[in-house]
Parts: sequence; C-alpha cells; structure tokens
Amino acid sequence: MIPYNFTFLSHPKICSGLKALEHIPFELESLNARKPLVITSARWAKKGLAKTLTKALYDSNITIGALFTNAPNYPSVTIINELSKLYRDRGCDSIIALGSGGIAHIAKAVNMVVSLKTDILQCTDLTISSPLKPLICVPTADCEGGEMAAVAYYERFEKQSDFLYPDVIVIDSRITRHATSQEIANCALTSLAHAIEACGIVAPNPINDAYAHTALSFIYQYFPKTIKKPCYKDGSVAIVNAAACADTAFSNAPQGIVHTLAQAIALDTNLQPGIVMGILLRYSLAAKLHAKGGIRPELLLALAGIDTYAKTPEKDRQKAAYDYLTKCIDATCNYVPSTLKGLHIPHYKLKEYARLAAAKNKQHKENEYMALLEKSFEGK
Amino acid sequence: MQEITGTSNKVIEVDLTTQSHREIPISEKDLELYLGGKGLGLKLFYDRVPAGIDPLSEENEFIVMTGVYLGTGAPCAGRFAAVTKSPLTGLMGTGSCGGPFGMALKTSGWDGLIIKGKAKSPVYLVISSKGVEFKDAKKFWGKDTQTVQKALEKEGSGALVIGQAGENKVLYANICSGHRFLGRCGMGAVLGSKNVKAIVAKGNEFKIVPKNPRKFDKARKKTLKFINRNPITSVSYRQFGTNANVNLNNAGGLLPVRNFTGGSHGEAHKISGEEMAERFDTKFSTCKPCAILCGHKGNINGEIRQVPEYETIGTFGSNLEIFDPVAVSEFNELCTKYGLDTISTAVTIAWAMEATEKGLIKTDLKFGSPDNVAKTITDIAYRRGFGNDLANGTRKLSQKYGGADFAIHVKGLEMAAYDPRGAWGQALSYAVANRGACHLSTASFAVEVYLNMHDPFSLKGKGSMIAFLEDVTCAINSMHVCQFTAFAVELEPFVVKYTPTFLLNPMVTYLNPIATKFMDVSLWPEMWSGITGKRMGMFKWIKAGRRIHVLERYMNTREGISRKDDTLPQRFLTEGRHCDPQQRTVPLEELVDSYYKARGFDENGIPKDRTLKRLKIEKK
Repeated sequence: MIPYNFTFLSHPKICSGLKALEHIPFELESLNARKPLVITSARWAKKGLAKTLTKALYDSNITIGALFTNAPNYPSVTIINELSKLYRDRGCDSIIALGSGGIAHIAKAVNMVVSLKTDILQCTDLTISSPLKPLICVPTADCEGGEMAAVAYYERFEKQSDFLYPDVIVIDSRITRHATSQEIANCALTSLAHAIEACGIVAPNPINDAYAHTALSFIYQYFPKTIKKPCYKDGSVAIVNAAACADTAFSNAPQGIVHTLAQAIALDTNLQPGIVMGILLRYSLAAKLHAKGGIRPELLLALAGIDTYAKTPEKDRQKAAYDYLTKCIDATCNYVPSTLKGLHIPHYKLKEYARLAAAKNKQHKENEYMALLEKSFEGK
Repeated sequence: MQEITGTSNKVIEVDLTTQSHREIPISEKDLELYLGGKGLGLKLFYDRVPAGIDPLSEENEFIVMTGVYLGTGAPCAGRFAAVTKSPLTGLMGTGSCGGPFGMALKTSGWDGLIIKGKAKSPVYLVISSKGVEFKDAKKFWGKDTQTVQKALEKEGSGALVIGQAGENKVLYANICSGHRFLGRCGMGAVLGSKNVKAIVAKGNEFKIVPKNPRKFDKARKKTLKFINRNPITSVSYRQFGTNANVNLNNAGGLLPVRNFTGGSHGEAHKISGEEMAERFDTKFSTCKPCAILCGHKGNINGEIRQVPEYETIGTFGSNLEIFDPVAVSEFNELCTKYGLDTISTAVTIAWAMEATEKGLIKTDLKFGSPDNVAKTITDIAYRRGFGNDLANGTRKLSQKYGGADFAIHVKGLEMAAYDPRGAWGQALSYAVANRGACHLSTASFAVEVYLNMHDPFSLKGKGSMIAFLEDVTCAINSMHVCQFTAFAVELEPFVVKYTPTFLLNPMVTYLNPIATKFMDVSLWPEMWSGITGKRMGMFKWIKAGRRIHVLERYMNTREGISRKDDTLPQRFLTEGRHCDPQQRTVPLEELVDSYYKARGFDENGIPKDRTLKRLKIEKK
C-alpha cells in the first residue's frame, strides 16, 4: 500500500562493473566538463590506482587538470584551501575523487569552495541553491559511510545538501579490490547499519526501502566471502554498490541511534566507525526484536529472498530477519569483537559518549543512548 | 641516624577514603625484574589497579617510587618517579622529577608511596617513618604552588604540591617539588581529584648506604669521571643549561616554529642558552645531588628566577614565534605557580593561535605576539571562559572545533620541542612512545642530529635503534638517575669514543641490532649491583628495561591502544618545511613496521604472547 506521502531523492548515476572507469570521459563530457582535478591519497597512488584511472582517460578528449596524490584522510581547512587553489590555478572544471573516506569529503568540500566562490568555513552556513561543479566519485572499498551521500564532512562540520551528492559514482573492480579485510568489514558494517536504520524509521518510504534492501541483499550475499578474500572482484564491487545504496538511503532518512553513537565513539578513540556500528547494531537489533514494533519482517525478504520469506510463517519473520542479520555481523568475528569492552572502550566514557550523541542527534534521549551503550558494553 | 642498607623494600600505602595507611613489602624478585623507580611503580600499578578505570575517580592510584640510587650519593640520582593513569591520555602516565620530595621520602624510610581513594575535603599528608598524618588543607586550597611550598617548609624536607590547575582538574596540571616538576600526563589533576593539595615527607630519619660500598664507589667514581669529561654534560649543559639545544636544533631543523610548521628560525639565537647565560648572568640551580648542573637561575628583569628549560623555551618561544626570553620566563613563572605543564600549555595555545588564524575559533591569540598569552594561561588554570576548553588539551579541542591536522599531540599528549621531520628516529619514537609524544622516551634526536651516529633520514635500523634506546631509557628511569648521564655513560667508553664518526654512523645505521651489542652501558648496572648487593649484568639490565617498556605497552593495549594510535599529527606526514629544500615528511608506516618487528609485537602493535612470556610478564 502506498504511503500517504513521502519524499525521495537520489541524484548520482552509478556506473558499475566491467570497464566502468572507461565511462568517465563520456560522463564528464555529458556534464560539460573536460579538465578534472583528480584527488587521491599517497596509498592509492602507490598501489597504481591513479595510473589505472589516467589510462582509462587516454583515448578521450579529457585532459587531467591536476593530479593530487597526497590527500590525507582528514578533511582539514588547510587541504581544502590548498586544493581549491590548485583547482583554480590549473583552470579545472570538474573533480574526480579517487578513493573513499576523507578523499571523497575533501572533494565535496573543494567543490563547494570553487562552486560557491567562497571560503570553506562560510560554506557551512550557506544554503546551496544550485548545482555545484561536476563531481565523480571513484570509491575504493574502504568506505566509511557518507562518501556517496548528500553530505560532506570536513573538520568537525557536517554539511547536508541535495547538491552534495556526487554526479556519477564509478565502481570498478580494478579500484575496489585493494582494501584490507578490516576495511571491508568497516565498509560493510557501516552500510548495514545505515541501511537498517534508514528502513527502520516510523514514516514509511518504499523507494528508500528499496535502496536499503538492495544494500542488505548485496551485503548478505557477498560480505562473508569478501571479508575472507578482499581481492575478490565481484565481492568488492558488490560491497561498494551496497555502500552507494546505503548512502542514498541514509541521505533520505534521519540519522539513527547506531550511527550517531558510533560517530561519537570513533571520534574519541580513533576506531573505525563501521566497526563500532557493527557492535552497536547487534544489540540495537536485539532490543528492537523484543520491543513494540519489532524488526520489519520485510528485511527477511531482502536478505533471504522470496522463497525463504514465503516459507517462513508470518510470526517468525522478525526473528528470522534478526538471525540473518546477526549471521552477517558474525562474519566479522575474526576482525571485530562482539562487545565495546572487547574494543577496550572504558566504561567510564560511556556517559560522555551518550551526552555527545544526545547533543548531536536530539531524536533520541541521552538515556536511550546510554541504554544501548550499556547493553553493548558487556553484551548483555 | 638509623641506616638502610641498599633499599628498605617497603612502600607506604595511604588510603584517603578511610584515612589509614599500611606497609606494603616489595619482593626481592620484583626488585630484580623491575629495578625500582618507574619499573616497580608500573608493576605495582599493574598488580593493583584494573584496566578501564576513570583516571579522575577514586579507583585510580598515584604511586611515587624513589629508585635504588637515591640517597646513596650516586651521581645525578636526585630523582624519583611517579606512576598513575593519565587523565590527559587515558593511558599509563609516568613522570620523573628532580625535586627534594624523593630524597625526603626515601630518608623517611620508604622506597615508595601509594595514594588510593579520595579524601572528603582538601587534605595534605605528612609522611614520616611512623606513618602518615592527614591534615586539613582548606587554608591552602586556591593557593599557588610556591606559596604552599613555602608554608609547608617546616613540616618536612620535601613536598609535592599542586596549584590551582590541579585543583580545577586541568588535564595537564603538573605537580611541583621545589623548582622541579612531575610535569607531564596531568598528574596534578589526579591529586586534585583526590582532594590532595600536598604531600610532605619529613626526611632525614635514615641514612642510605650501599651493600657493597667498594663496588659502588668504583662505578660511581668512573661515572663522575665520564660526566666531567664529556663535552655535553661538562660544557654545553653545565654552562648553558638545556637551552644549549636551541642553536643545535635550529641548525638541525628540529626547532618547533609556528606550531611546528618550520624547523628553524632566524631569530632563534635570541632564546638560546648561550644568549640567556650572558644576558641573565645565570647560576646553577639544579636537582640535588647533581654532577651535570644543567638547571640554572638568573637575574631576569631584576628578579632571581629559574631560567626556563629548553622544552619551555621551544614551545612558548619559537613555537609561538615569541623570541623574547623575558616574556617566556613570565609564562614559565605563571605555569609554575598554577601548576601547569609548560609543554602542553604552550602547544595548546599554539593550536588556539593557528585555529584562530584559520577561522575555526575566535580568540585574541596571535603568533608572534605575547599579548593575551599570560591571561590565557590564567584562564586555563581556573578553567575560565574558553580556558575551560583549552584546559582539556589539543586532542579534545580538535574533536570539538576541528583542526585535528595541526593538533600537535600523540595519544593525547602534546609534543615536546623537537620537530619529528628533522629526525625520523625521533618521529618513530614519538609515534610509539607509551605515554604519548614524549621526547624522553628515547631522546633519539641527540643520537641522530647532535652526535651524527645514525642517519636521521634513513629507514635502516630505526626500529631496532628505537627499541634499544627505549629499553635503556626505561632502565635509567627505574634506577632512578638523570637521563643526561647517558651522554657520558654511553659515549665515553672506549669503543664509542674512539671509533671515528664516519665508521660509527654506518655501523649504527646498517648493523643496528649488532652495533648496539657493543655499546657499553655497564656502569649503571654496576652501581645498582653495588647498592643492592644483587648480581646485575649489562644484558640482564637492558632486558629489565625491555620488560618495563613492554609491560607499560601491554597495560596501554588493555586501554585500547593499538597501531591506529601509533601515529603522528597529519602535519608531519603530509607537509614539508621551508627549512628543508627536499620538503621531507615522515614515512611512518615503514618505520612502525620495523619497530614492531624489533619489539616482538604483532602487526597491530599488540605484544605477542611469546614476547610477554619471554619477559616474564603475566598476562591478565
């Protein structure tokens, strides 16, 4: 049944799979751009990804305006200003972010600066009312969440705007197969948490659910094998596709309790947010299973397919969906402990994290955050 | 006067909650395995305090250990160690101090002191051989360290005192003893959280004598001879204090300039030891006893004041681009009074200056201008206004306001005044040091730049060199003796002294694990052996140092430390400097890999089970 009303926006075009990189010249030209600034990190440059990308542009009218191969993972004002200057000095007209995490957010921040012709700190308070310069994301499989969403993180700011979606997302196994198992785990668990939180909201949004369910389906099918063998081509492509779908779902839903808490913990501990999300998600789902409303049975359909869904009695679908999800999280048991205590997070810090989360996301009260933290601490 | 032969092997445990005390024996085995001082302090903490406690809760303990050398007349042994869980880093916090409290505690008949629990209202403790007296400190609460020390002079021969910063739990508040400090890791906040304003030890009740006076005296005399003939200990530091480092660091590209954006500056000579010795007519004012005499006081603006040490000059001076030693001395005096660590205070202020410049925050602080710095220090000590945020250090500030790329800390501890891009061994040492960005973990900059014994920009041999230096440093800090004696003890023996640098450098760089085996550091264990009467060879002594370092690392891993934390601020990994035409940055990953291998840690930086077993560390 169609809901009374809902809104949904997904801007990026996804080019995924075989020779996806070779689509870039066409996509750039479609966006009326010919001289991109390519941003990547020293790690990916060393692995030869910049070379792979530039090779894909050889037989085209595209000229690389500048290739910056030393982007840090932290999107600081300094690097954003430096790259904005480089963009202007070289007369670039578009941006390609080659890599995930900070690289994508730096690219988005630079795009705001060069498009809005202002300082990055002023961008924070501005409302973006028109499309920015063309931005192509070529993600690696170490996504931290939000790279392909309508959000940019820089310094400690979080800028949300529909215009912050990348224009094109290019997912190619030549780029995605270089992450480590730990990074794959981080990426998949972030996507899992984002997807579940996006489709668990009170106001139903069937199109957003479709994106979230696609993400869950990819993760369930490919995650257990890919975490064991991160260079598995199809697996890494599927995981990044899941991240792209989860990011879209995340952009169209309010931030959830797991996401907010994990961000607060990761900021203080240097831990990868996805790893923390994996732990929190397990206990959040367990709590939901016994709470009023419970877990949405449709998740089972996404995870197990129509046959299993149809075979499972209606009253058992929630529990079955929960079992499928925990099985998915369990695939990380060699890389991620099952409790916050296992991550060596001290108990005395939980209050601080709950307070920080409550200050950031007021949809939940401090005691709700604290309750989830307490449960996740020792796995009760 | 009664005599203690060797060590008393007993520690006084003071329970603030119940206002009681008891004697804790130290086993002979633990003394041999952990040497004393920092080593034994860590072992006691490990055995007594569980992981994951809040550093500012009453569960935390504050341990002072005096070490074997203290009171025996061993050269430069007027030091004691403290161990606690640091509120700044959330990890093990250790400190070394040359103030009179150590001698007073040891000559009161105690090898150490453990403070646990929390007093209901402000107290100060008076410790003697009979035990402890709890006295009301309400009249001292809110007073500065110098006023309180003066008021307590008659109560005993040495005191530990916190200032207003400790009372207000500034996360990098220090503890003052005489004109020396337990400077780093926020130990003052730990005492403040326990409502302890001061600890006084009566002292002068016992005389400490070595078990084997002949053996001890032979080693002692040889050490003194080495100290008096080594050019660093007998000339540079003796004449110009630790500020002799300014010109050396400026030339070597190690001097922090403008929040570590540059490694040298044309005006640096104005804050050099040579300049200040002449300008302030400096005299010795050192730890006691001391043979190096690096601590100086001088006539500064018509007042006799302690001359700021190099770390203060480097961080408050060149790092803020304030090349006026009088202004730096004013800031030093304020930090002394309020009980603030000068390194963390200055580096935090430098962060605020850069964050202001970049528009992340609004303050009146500006590089090159001493205006508002004194007011900011006061605001920090009292946690007033923005000072309340600054009081939490650069890590917390950058989490709240951004600017993590120029928040110059490792594991939460602000960096000392040596730019890691000038010496990659020092960079590695900062990244992996147990207590954070600590220059004293190895002082590798001296080996690489001052002594030219190891190519500062080579990746070869760095991991094993840093591991070796850490082992030796841990052992030194457990004896407990001044680290500067290392210049004499390590460099004066025949092999090192008479091997030409052009041979020594490649040997140490390319054959590091073998080259260090030829290093003769036997004088230290010989003195230890002379005092305790126990056998202690050089390799056993170095192994004890390794045990102490690995135990501390293991304790930190229980607090969540792993490879992700063994890193440097982004600035050092991505930004080159004007003073370096090659614009070098630190290739940290390779360095950390080689270090873990040398240490017997897994790829995530966790000590392997077999490493712990080999070092007789019981896993918890």
